[in-house]
Amino acid sequence: MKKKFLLLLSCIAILSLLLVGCGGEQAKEKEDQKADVASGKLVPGPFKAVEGLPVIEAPEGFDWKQFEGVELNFISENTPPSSAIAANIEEFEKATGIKVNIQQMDLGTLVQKVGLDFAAGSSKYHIIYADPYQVLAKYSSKLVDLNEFINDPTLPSIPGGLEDFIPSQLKIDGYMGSEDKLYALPYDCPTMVLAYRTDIMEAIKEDFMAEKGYDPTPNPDMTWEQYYEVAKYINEHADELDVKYGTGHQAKQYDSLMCDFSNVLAAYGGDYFKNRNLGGIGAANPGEADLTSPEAIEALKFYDKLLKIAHPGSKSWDWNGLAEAFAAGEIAMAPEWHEFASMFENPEKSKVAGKVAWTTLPKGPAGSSNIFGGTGIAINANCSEEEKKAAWLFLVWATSPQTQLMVLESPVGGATPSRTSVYELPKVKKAMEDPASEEAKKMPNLTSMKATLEAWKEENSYGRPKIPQWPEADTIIFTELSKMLAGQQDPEATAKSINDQLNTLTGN
Amino acid sequence: MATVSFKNVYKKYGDQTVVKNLNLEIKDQEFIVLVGPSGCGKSTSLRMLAGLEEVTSGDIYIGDTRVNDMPPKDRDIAMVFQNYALYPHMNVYDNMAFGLRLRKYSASEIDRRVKEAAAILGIEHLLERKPRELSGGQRQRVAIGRAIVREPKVFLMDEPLSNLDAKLRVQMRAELAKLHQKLKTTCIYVTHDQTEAMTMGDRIVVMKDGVVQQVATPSELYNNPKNIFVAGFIGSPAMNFIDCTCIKENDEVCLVNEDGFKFLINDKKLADKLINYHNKKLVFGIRPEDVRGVPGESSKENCQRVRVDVVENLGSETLVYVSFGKQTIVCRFMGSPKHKVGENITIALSPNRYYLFDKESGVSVID
Amino acid sequence: MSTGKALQQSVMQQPEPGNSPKAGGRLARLFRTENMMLAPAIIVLASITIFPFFYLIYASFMNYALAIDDPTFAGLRNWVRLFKDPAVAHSWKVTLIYAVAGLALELVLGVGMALLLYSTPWGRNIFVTLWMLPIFVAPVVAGLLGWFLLNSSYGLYAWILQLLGLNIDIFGNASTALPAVILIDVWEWTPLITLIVLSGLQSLPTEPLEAAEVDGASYWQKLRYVILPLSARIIVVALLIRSMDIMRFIDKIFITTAGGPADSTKIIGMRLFEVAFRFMDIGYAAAIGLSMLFVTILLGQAFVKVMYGR
Repeated sequence: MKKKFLLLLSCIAILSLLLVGCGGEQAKEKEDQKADVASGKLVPGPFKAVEGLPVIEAPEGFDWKQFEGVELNFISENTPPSSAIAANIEEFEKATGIKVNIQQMDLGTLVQKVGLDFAAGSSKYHIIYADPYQVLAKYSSKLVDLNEFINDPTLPSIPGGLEDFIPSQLKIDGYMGSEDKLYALPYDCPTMVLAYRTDIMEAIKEDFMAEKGYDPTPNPDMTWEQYYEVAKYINEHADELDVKYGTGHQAKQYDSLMCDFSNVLAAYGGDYFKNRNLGGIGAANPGEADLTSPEAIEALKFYDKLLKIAHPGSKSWDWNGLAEAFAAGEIAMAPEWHEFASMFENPEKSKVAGKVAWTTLPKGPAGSSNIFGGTGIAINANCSEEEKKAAWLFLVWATSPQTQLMVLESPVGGATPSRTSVYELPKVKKAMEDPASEEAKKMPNLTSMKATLEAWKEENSYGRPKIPQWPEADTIIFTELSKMLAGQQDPEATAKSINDQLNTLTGN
Repeated sequence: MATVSFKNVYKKYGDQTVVKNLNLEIKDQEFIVLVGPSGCGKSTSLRMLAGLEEVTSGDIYIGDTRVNDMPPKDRDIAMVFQNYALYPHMNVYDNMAFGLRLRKYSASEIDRRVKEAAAILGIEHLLERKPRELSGGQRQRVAIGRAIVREPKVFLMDEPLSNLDAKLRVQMRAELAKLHQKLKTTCIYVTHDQTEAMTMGDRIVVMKDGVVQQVATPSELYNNPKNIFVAGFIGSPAMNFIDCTCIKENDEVCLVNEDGFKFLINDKKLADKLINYHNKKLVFGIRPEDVRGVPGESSKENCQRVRVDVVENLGSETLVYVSFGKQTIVCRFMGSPKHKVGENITIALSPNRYYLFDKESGVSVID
Repeated sequence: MSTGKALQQSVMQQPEPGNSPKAGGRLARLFRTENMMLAPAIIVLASITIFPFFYLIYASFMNYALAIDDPTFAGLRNWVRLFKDPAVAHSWKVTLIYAVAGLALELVLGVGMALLLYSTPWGRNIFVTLWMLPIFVAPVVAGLLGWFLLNSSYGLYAWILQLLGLNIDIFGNASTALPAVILIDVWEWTPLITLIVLSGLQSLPTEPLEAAEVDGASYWQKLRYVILPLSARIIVVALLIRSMDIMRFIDKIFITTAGGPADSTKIIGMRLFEVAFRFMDIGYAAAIGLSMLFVTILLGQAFVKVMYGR
């Protein structure tokens, strides 16, 4: 396998040499043509505008077709927005004459391929789905500073401006270390919130209230301890209920385990590093690890306790496994990425369609924390000038409010817009307010959106540390957590082990 | 030691019958040879006796025991295979001791027997060697040794000498015969080589297409072959055959054909019998040694003018291939050649050492 | 003095006409037609194996962690880390259990099945084909099949276990995950052993076997003293092939457990994958890869010795 990789590397190197050579010359020619573009006045681009949303505009006389014939490769995780973009790419290709090949794969493979592309100094992928933690934090120097284009009066600008992006997302997805350079535009933003079964909650409500004195139905004010109590109660009454376990988790020895645990950790007031500002713009050096704080230990203890009563499958599930189990009606409550809402509401894939409601995750001593998993799209700095500009056009279009709305409505999409203006559209608002409405049926993803918008609020949102060493740090965290859940070490030992390894990793 | 008998034994593979109604009584201590061309069922018969092939129908007895359903290991037989079938991973000693060890003989008894057999076969110095370090003849001795040490009721030998070169084969033939005289174990020997059969067997079973043609001692087989197949198979060079028609002329019974062949039957008794064959097709057979050369253009009866085609000088004797018309005849003359190729000579056919077979059935007309 | 000697030699060599055609001959021999025709193949082979191999050695002394496209010299750092890394040691331990248990099961089942098929009087081809099916399945698919069958939400085996009152998740439990991935490997690769051994059995000379039967051997004795010794080599070959693969093939583990839970299924190949492609620490990955290569070579040597030692 190693050999193959190195061969690939050398091949890529040779190929890229050839490609860069040709690309440069073409770009020069176009440069001359573009000099004529008048500056000043902005006119709408050749795209269908949507009422109530900012339109895509360009300087007067801008030739949308100037990059005709350029071919761009967009490497993306296989997420709903990319499927929707792929299904509607014709609009962009027609307007610009640029050909966009969208390659979708799982995140792990994507990170590998992008890493190899950078290692070879090539631009096999022009547009990159830049996961803030695995791509942006590590490879920000390989990405184009988008300010170049934003500040270039001869190019189309971002419709609605950067202000229309949800601020916390722009911070996490777009910047690294400082806000001097903008590397990516927010593209999607799955967030973990709590999914639960309304039918189960109704069934136990009366008895539970009589016994414990509070409503078992998850709500923004529920605490993790109460959540534990409800889950346990459902376990004990599973025989009478249409469910097997109270709670399920994505606790496979994988990235998902770190995500699931992070919610509890932050809710208990803990974090992985003493520097609490890593979740935003991130830092190259995170400083000392902080897993041995009393808050973190409490969180570990609670998480360990919670997983003991969770569905035994939890330890083998990532987010997909958990979603399948939830859709199969095996569990009553689960912290899950909100984008699975459309799957849960699809009767073909789910036994629980129409019986699912969402809310923010339970509270700990430090409130509710909902881990953010959004990603931006960025441009490979190894591209030729012409490719960079063509890619910019794509970025402008793909992150524009109208495209984001299209993605939201797309039958193959159902993703989450990263634009404030989209959420202010009356039909979107209605779908979020009333899950039974026609609009909600058309955009099933929105059933979880109300809780998600709540989760995006500063006080509820958790961003994991954005550091270049994150892939290793993530592995250390979920491996040690997995050992704890397997009963091989207690929470204190787990905390110490993670701390020591993180400090070694970051040199602190 | 034991007798062996086959009773109405058949062997079929699907529709194909390989052995047809085999009936054979083998006496104790007898050395019997199954001979025939390849595919005649001789090996199959032997393997049925060994228990390596199932019997389709009929019974096989060793002594008084019916062995049809008995596994090979219980039949108390020993077999020598054409390709020696030594265990390649064991040395000579272990190859020979293997069967005894399986039968749980004591180590000292095994040692005694192996050494004894090795001495008989002259392979004592090879005991530590692996089969691949031995020559063909040595391997065959080991294979025989492996059979001897077992002291079985019956020896089965499946073309044991056919992988050896001609000289070694003659030598081993004699040794095997000697060995049998010494051990006196009932032995069933399969070969396709009639010389081997003639020199070794107490009795010979000639088989063809799964059917026994004749069971007899070597001299009986040579002198009184029951049918044209046996007549042709036994003896070397093979018997000459001439297709002819039986005719009766003026009280004389003659055999003639269109090539100018004419043979007068002197034997009165036979002549009487041949009356029934008037104008019918017969096959006249005569062995090469029963043809004489006669001087001059003799027109005496039972003489034939022929042309010499090939002369083969074997030193003590000469084989002369002659022809007249479409007929070819091999003659065996004593001493060195006296004739030249292309020369016309006269040959005389022995008036009383000849064979006659029915053309249609192949059965001998002379009893 | 030495220059004088050299001069002397060259002077002595120059007038000798016999020497120069010899040197020319060597060159001519190098460019002989057959060598020229072999050259493309050798060059291709060299570029896909030898060059990467030396590159790997180079990479193991470099540090790629800071800048993947601009490695810095790291000295022995990667190698020291390799021998001190408890995670790597743990992975070797898991690999040992995984390989020994997997190979042992595959050997016993594979040879057993081969013997069974070998003595099947009829329908051997059909049985062989059915038995071989798992080999034709891509390892990833084998992993997915195992995952589907053992999945606690909809897996068939998990359902059966639940009916039996065993409410555990097979891939979620540190004590059951490793046996499960071993069994998937056994399911997929036992047929390969069967195939190789069966072909060996079918090419065995029949006469020694018949000789053994006549010599008085029961089936088991025949097996023990004749069949197995005679097919030992082919069995070793099958084991050699499998033992080299078992370290490298990580598809199933990747799909089912991703090395978890609690690193219980993180074999060395999986660790290498993680270091190389998740952490992009190419230098350290090169060191791990070379250590795997070294172990594979040792294993191969050991097997070859066993093969020709007898």
